[in-house]
Amino acid sequence: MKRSLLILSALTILTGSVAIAADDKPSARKVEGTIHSIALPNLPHELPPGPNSDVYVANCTSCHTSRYVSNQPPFPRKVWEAEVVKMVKIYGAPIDEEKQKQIIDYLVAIRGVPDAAPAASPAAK
Amino acid sequence: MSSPSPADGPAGITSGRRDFLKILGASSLGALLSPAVAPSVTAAAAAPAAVGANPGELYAGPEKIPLTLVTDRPLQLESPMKVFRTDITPNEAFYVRTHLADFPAQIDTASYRLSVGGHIDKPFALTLAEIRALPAVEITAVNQCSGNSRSLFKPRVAGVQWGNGAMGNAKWKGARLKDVLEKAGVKTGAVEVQFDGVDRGVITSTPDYVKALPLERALHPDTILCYEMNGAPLPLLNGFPLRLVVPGWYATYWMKWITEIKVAETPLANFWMKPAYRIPTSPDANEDPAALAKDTVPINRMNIRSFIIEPEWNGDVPVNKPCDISGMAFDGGDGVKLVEVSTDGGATWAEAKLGPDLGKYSFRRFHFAWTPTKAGAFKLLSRATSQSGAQQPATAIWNRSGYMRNVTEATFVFAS
Repeated sequence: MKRSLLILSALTILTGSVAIAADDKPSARKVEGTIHSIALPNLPHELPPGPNSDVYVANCTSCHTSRYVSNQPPFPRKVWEAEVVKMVKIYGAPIDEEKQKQIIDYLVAIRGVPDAAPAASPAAK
Repeated sequence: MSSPSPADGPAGITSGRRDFLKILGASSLGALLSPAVAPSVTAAAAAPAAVGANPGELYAGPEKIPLTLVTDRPLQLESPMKVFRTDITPNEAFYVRTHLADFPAQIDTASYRLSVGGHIDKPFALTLAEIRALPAVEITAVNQCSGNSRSLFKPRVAGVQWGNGAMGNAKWKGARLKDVLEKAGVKTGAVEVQFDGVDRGVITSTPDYVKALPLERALHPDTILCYEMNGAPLPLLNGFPLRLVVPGWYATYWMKWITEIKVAETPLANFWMKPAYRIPTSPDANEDPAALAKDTVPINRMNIRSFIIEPEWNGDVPVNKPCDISGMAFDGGDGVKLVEVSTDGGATWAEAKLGPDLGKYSFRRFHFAWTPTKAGAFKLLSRATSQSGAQQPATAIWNRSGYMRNVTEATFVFAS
């Protein structure tokens, strides 16, 4: 724990970002009368450039963060296909077939592996 | 289930997220990508990577200490393992899991209502004050995401890539759901109870997050409509002002910001009940990646797990000095009977001493006195057995969605 904290402190100094330590006090909610509110985060995140990255950004990032992609391990094409099809058929994303293919190409380009691995068809995100 | 839209405000909710997205839509993605709104995120990648630890950034969200940022929209925050040094997980350190990006940033407790309808004598709605006026119970219970530890599955599966920290143990206070259902007068033929919270997808075509509990589990005296967590109001990110608490069951049923209860005669068949959150019917939820199980059922009770918390993964321990190996175990409500520890990679096991019993749904602390007598690397393991005789397996199960991992987890330490 001490080690992690020291590393964090060092990074904080180096990057000049807002200091975070494990013993930081959490930010309180705002309470006005009976109204309780919090400020939701806006945490920018960009994926690496690649073919059709503009199609990906335009069609995917209004509903979810790109961390949903960058957090995944590399997957074979069929897993990314299943993910994109799920976004369209289940989550209702209005993306036509041509754009779906472009998005799959992009995901495979930045986060793909050859199609040898066993199938892993995901359910809930 | 038709629930009023948060934008309409009848349930007392407005969403900052939705407003944000409107702004975003109006100004393209520039707002999202602007460095001018850089958040308080610090990379933690340089810290020693633990097995099951998510190597993501740390982020101090609203009402939260810095937690591991898994995804930001929808928001998933994971508790670092050191949080589990205490039996009760503090509210500000409790993990966060959200399914849909449009969740409430603002709640008006005066206008908030819980509506109760469906296959009952007469529909009605309760205010928060009315719920608080019902007999209160408090239960200490573990809340664990179905997909906790998903990132450790081999082969890997898609989904939120949690380490081991999508869990926590808290004292949940509230009214029994049973009392509300009895007031409603459940009619003959009811099979389950469905729950809806105020969270929504960003686009209307995204299926609303609605989940169902079998009637029997809904009527269980330990299933509660919770308004207090560890003696304080729930954090907004954990479901303030009201969430369902289903001790012993996975957190997918612990609906947050709950505004609607519907008693039903036929099972809900939405995405969130099928195909999502289902497990193979085999007793250990195991299946072959090359031949997926044909039959699945909704995920339900948690299996037994244990974790060594101290010494921490990759930690240093002194040779010839006593070291307290400690951690916690829990299961789906049978209670922990025994925890054993191995300091030789699983070749031999010895019984650990159990800490205070905080109830059958709670974390149960264990301690094991160990003195390493030589320098070098040691592989420590813990193995829990429940009161019903269930024991953690030596090899990990696998299933397509990455649920219910409960293998004996290894912790590597170095003696010098």
